[in-house]
Amino acid sequence: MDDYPDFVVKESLRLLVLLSTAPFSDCAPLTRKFNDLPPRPGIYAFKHRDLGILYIGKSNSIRARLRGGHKALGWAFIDRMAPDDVHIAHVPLSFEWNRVSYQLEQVMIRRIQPPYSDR
Amino acid sequence: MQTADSTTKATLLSHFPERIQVALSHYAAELNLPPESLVQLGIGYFLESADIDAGVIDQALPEPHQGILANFPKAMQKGIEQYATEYEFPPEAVVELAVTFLLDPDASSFEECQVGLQREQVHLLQHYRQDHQAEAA
Repeated sequence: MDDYPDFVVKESLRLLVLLSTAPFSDCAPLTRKFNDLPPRPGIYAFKHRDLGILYIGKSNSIRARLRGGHKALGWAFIDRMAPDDVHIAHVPLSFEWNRVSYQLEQVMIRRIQPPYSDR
Repeated sequence: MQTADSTTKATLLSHFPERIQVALSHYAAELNLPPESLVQLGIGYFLESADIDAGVIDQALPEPHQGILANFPKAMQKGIEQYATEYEFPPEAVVELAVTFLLDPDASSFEECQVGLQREQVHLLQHYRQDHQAEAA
């Protein structure tokens, strides 16, 4: 993680704590339209009720990203996970932080290596 | 959907980096649309997912406006400005958010955008376009 500026690493780890500690019941359930997700830039995580974070991603619209289908949903299905055992945690990004969202995402993925994050 | 005249078309695309212009042309050819209409379709989809009326079938002429927003119908300009106010992004950045999402839903900016044709994005836009054509009929 030394190849990213300290302020990026620090913010990544702060956001990762938010995603990791968000109570499962407060995260957005899987639905067709994902109206519980914000239509704005941010970082999101697929969380399993018992297994924790499965995937971390980012998008300019978290709601539209999930609404359009997602490979992590397919993997969860193949792994026989029940839809009610998978929720989406999310954190919004401001205009300034969205410019470095790739770096934020990569720091998080390297830190916890979610099983479905292979990008 | 309203389509801009030829002068506006050149102006709209010229706001984007060359590689983005090329990618938009590929998507436009796939959807049999002028690239400028494709941009409006993509922005319409992005705003509508935020429950903002995109005005993609609006027939009003653009108001005098500075920058890239001047290229869009009035209703779409309002939608972009509404989104910009609600989420605290500059209006011009909202256009980049939407166009980037159109080309690569995992990218955050033109710079990061993977410009290869993504079949899922083509299908998504086709469905969105069909839905609006049905509504307009």
